[in-house]
Amino acid sequence: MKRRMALACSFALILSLAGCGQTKEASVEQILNEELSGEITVSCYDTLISKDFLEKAAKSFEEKNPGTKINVEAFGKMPEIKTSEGSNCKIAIATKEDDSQERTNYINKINTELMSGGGADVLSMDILPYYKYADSGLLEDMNAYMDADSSFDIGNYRENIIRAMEYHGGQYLLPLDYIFHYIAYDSSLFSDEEKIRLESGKAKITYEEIFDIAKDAFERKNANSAERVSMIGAFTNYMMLDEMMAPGYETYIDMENRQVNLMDGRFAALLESVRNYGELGYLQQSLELNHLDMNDIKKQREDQFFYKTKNQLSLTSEVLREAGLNNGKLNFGFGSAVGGDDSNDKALGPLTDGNKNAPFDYLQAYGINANSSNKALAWAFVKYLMSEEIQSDPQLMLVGLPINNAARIEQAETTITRSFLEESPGEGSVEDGELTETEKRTIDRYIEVVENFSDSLNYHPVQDDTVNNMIRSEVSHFFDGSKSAAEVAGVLQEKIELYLNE
Amino acid sequence: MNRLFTNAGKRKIDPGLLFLLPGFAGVLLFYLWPFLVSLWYAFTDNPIKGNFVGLANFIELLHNKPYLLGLKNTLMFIGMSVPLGMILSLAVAMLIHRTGRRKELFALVFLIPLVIPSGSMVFFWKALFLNDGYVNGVLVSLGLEGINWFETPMAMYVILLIFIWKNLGYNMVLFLAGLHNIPKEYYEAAAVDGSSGVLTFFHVTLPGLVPMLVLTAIMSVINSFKVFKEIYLITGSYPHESIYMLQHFMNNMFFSLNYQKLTTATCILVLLITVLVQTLFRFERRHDQ
Repeated sequence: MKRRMALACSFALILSLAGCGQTKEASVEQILNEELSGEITVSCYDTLISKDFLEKAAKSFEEKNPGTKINVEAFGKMPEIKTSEGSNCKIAIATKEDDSQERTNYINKINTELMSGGGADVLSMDILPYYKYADSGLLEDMNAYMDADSSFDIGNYRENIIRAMEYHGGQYLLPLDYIFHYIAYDSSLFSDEEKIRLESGKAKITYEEIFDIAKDAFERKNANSAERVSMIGAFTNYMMLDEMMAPGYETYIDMENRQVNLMDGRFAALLESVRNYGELGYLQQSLELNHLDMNDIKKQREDQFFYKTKNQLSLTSEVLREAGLNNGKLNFGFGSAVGGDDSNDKALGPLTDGNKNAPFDYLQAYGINANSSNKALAWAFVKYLMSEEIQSDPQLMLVGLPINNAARIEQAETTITRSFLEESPGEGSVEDGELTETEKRTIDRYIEVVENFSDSLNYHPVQDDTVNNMIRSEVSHFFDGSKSAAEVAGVLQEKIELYLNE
Repeated sequence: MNRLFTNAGKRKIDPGLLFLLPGFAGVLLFYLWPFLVSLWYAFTDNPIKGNFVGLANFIELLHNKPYLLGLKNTLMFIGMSVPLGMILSLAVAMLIHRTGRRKELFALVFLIPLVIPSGSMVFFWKALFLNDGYVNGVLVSLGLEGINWFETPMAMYVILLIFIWKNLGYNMVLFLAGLHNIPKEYYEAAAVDGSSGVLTFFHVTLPGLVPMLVLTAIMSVINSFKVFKEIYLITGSYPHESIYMLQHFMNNMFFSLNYQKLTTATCILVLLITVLVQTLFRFERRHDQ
């Protein structure tokens, strides 16, 4: 009986191993020579930005390539849209509670599909840990496709952004857009000498430096004023910590090389600084971004702040204000909707670590499943998403700056001319379909500003949700006073090291 | 073999085997086959397009610090919890066995922790042992300093307490059954011979309990692995290093998609448990002889 059992188990083992042989893989050149046909699936978690964009792009692609079918799967729930109307404007706020369980469920679903040899052909890397998939060989290295495909010229895209997103020398995701933060200061709150100091150091802005420069102005303003003026708008302790860690993230946690360095005193000093800023009244601790109504937003827009951290969308306002339009009251971009009165704002520059790192992020980036049975179509669709045609289509809402250079220029022209059209009749109105000199100058200036900022962006460290959750959970003990900065640094060092060494 | 054949040599299938077949098919389909298939991952470098790498994964795992930490903590925990749990549950079982009245009530009290859901239990332990919990409250009121129970090596003792509290009733029931099976005549004969309580325990009770001791030891080892549930609910995937167990490592490998390390660790664990169980059964057989 025992012998029969042993034989049965051996037979089962051999049977299972028989299916584990390797099949010969097609080369990238062979894949690129295949005719585009068949079906692929594109999977994303986010519904607010990605789903609509993908569905419209898929429809357009199918029309251009008959015989192909692009299925779009979106997992996340739609956010709640709240609208509020004022006397001359209407504001819609899309809010969604951070449902970590829903995110975990999506990631588990994708993990299971990928590890069982299946999964969508194209994956949106909105919340997925792409570096883990890259380490397991589950994503295609698109460097080979970019090199072999003669119709793909990296010169047509923001190459510094694409290359900064390489992981271990491979290109496992391609971004469709990029976003970045920059600092602007309210020039009406600073003395001339302080303004000179700010402007002279704007190439390598750090929060520590700008707070130091504004220290006297802050005390001066708040000594004589009944209503306190915050140093920086819309920041809690946690947001401040995230912002200050971002430019030098890898010096604390290097996911690529599996190293963590929180014990040399810098992290503890950073925690102390953030708490100190909160105690000095620099930060707005009570801000609840998900529960703002029209009155809150109106008050926020009238508030003054010494500094504002804005995103790239606000560059439109900066340039238009330079051109003498809007007086900074209209045409707020996404980034400064709660950022206070910016009628006296002057842009400094992208945040850096004081040295060479200027971080950026993306809203949409896509990778190709290494198990995909139709890589030719998958690559063609990803390329199409990056094309000028799709990225400059005003019907498709690309919230970040397009990665395609020509599309970015077109978007700039559209944005500026639309702003002129919305302005009251007068200087700058479009006449006879031709751009006026003012419009041309403003467009050129906007493009110059955007491209200068974009040229400096070079830093996109790999970040891990598990590590960030550990940090978030542990630093809460520091901010509530139950642990010291050194204790928090010690606990995090141990936990993250354990995680990275597994 | 003989059951399959009649005296005339004709093959006859025992109906009992037919009744066992569905159960065996389920075990084969949902336990044995997946285990054998996953074994393959332990010998490859990638679960999808894996190349055979021999014992490289095992060698790498034996140099992996978190794995060694988990293994060390697990073995330490088993080394402390199993003997302590067995001694305490045997003591309780003997006390209840001697009780004249309300035996069932006392047994029931010790069985209650077994039926309380882990999620509810975790809430109770957190209320006791968090930094601002009741235990620290008592310590502070006595003029002592509070202890960070879950983020210092004291965490191991808290987990030990949780394990014993939860499993004492289970082992106690097994020992009670074992104690009932020891013939009273043995005790009477020992009493007649003037044997003391201690001598009676070592020469009558313990030898009579050997089969139950082996079973309880095996079940305690298995239950010691289940304490991961409570640790996970209290402290998450990455607890203090003193309570980072093998199951943490394996659970985390699953979520990290590192199936090679997961299955390699599983293989080693299966091997260790097999050796342990075989050793215990050999001890029992030798005792019977």
